[in-house]
Amino acid sequence: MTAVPAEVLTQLTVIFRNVTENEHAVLAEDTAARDVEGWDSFTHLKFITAIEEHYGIRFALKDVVGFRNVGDMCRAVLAAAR
Amino acid sequence: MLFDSLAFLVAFPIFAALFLYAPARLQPPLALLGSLAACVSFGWVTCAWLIVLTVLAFFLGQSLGRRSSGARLAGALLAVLAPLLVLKYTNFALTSAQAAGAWLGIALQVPHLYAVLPVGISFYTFVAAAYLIDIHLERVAPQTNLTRFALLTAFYPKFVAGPIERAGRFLPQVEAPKRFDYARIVDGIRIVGSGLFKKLVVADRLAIVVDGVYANPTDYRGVALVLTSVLYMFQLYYDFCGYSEIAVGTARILGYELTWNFNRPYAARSISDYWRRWHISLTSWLFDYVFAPTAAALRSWKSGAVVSGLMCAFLVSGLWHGAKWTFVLYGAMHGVALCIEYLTARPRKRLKQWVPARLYAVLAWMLIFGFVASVDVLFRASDIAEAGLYLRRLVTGLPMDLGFLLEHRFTPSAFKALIAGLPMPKTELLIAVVAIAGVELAAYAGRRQPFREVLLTQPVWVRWAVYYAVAASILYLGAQNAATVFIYQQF
Repeated sequence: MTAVPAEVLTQLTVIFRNVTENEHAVLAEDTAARDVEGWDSFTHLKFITAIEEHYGIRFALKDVVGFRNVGDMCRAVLAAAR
Repeated sequence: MLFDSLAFLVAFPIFAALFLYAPARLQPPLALLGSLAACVSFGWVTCAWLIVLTVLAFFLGQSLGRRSSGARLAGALLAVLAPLLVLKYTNFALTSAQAAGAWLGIALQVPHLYAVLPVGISFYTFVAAAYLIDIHLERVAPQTNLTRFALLTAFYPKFVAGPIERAGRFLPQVEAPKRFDYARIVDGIRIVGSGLFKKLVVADRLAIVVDGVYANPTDYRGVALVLTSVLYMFQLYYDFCGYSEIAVGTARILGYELTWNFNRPYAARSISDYWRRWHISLTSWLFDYVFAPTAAALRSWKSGAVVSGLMCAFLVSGLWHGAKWTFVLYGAMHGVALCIEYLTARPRKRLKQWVPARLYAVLAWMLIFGFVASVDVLFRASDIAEAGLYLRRLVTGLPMDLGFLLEHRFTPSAFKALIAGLPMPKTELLIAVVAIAGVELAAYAGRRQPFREVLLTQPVWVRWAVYYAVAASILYLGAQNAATVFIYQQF
């Protein structure tokens, strides 16, 4: 599995903080929805939509339902941006 | 061969002994052989469909593993879902079309499909569909050994009525050798005992009163129907929870771990909480394979995506339970309740700050309990008209019954008079209520740690008093009831 560049992880953390209005949220590569209070299915959808808007990309449905953690999201961002 | 049959009670220990002392490489074929032998007892048609679907899913899985795409997955899913769709829903679709035609003034002559619905098909079809989707999403690798794969769909403890296991959790267990482990086997027996108690002592006893009332709902009203609704809630729960525990317990005796399907569902204080506790393996299936893809595909609709996902998931849930409009409405009602809960999250959060926490919790619990009891009428009624009649008599009779109770100052004898006509001797009803109270107290005591583990920390006389009480209840209180099938077996 490829390592995730720190700047993508930092950017996703900023987006997540905006979506959840939680200034203290910290995301790591292995952070999953169950690890963060308030990260429910709707927050998940809002987060994905916000990432897509920020990077001007559109994730494949297969990717969206297959995300296991933040690392998977970062890798999908990198793949879509290529 | 059902879990509560004499044949099972005799055959299973012999099979378990043979299985646990067999060489590791022979255990998967032996488990499959035993499962198919049990399956034959439900009829050759059931067995044939199980084998056809299993072989089909195995080869489709291998094909998807070599090359997968959205179109190939759709084709594979259509192939494994086709038997279920045709056998379970053809007549429903045809009669619904005929009724719609009649409503529009068009007389339609529709044929009728004469086919037996194979036992367990709704369960193992969902298992197979999830396996194919998981291969497409690269969550699991396709299984290369047909015998081992066949246990995913056909493993006897779960093929009749679940739990709906996932390949990623179940298949690695098939590979591992199983050995005689005294502590594990005793634990499995305890779980089976708990399941038999729930089914034979409570659910089958409550079935007598519920069946009697639903056979003649016009003979009852108000309080008697409210009580019957609550009794049916517990009959349904104890019947399916009992089945699930026997499945988990028998599997554990053989060295397999199955998913727990229930976690005190009637303690829920929100409808989403209820679905996290009720039929957990189906709810998580619906969330992962219906809600998540629907909501993700429609994510630009924002809140609309969640609402659409919830409604799709719960309409599928309703239809999965049965090809009847009562089940469609049952699913729709739960879907609407979940949407309302989701859309009112913010005002409810504000309300929570104003209302004392305990009062809020009690009111929320009462609301959910009442909602589930009301909607379960749809689950039990044979058609919409019967459910309507039941609820109408319940609502119209309640003011009269409350007036009667008020007049008699809510005395126990006044309550007794209102339920005097229920088709069950009061002592039998009392046994059921005491048994429910005992089980629910045990479940409450075991909310952080399973009750059977809590029991292990007690003095030996307490443990054995409980074991004897459960065993004696099964033998002497359960034996008086006529054998009934498990409710979820029909799905």
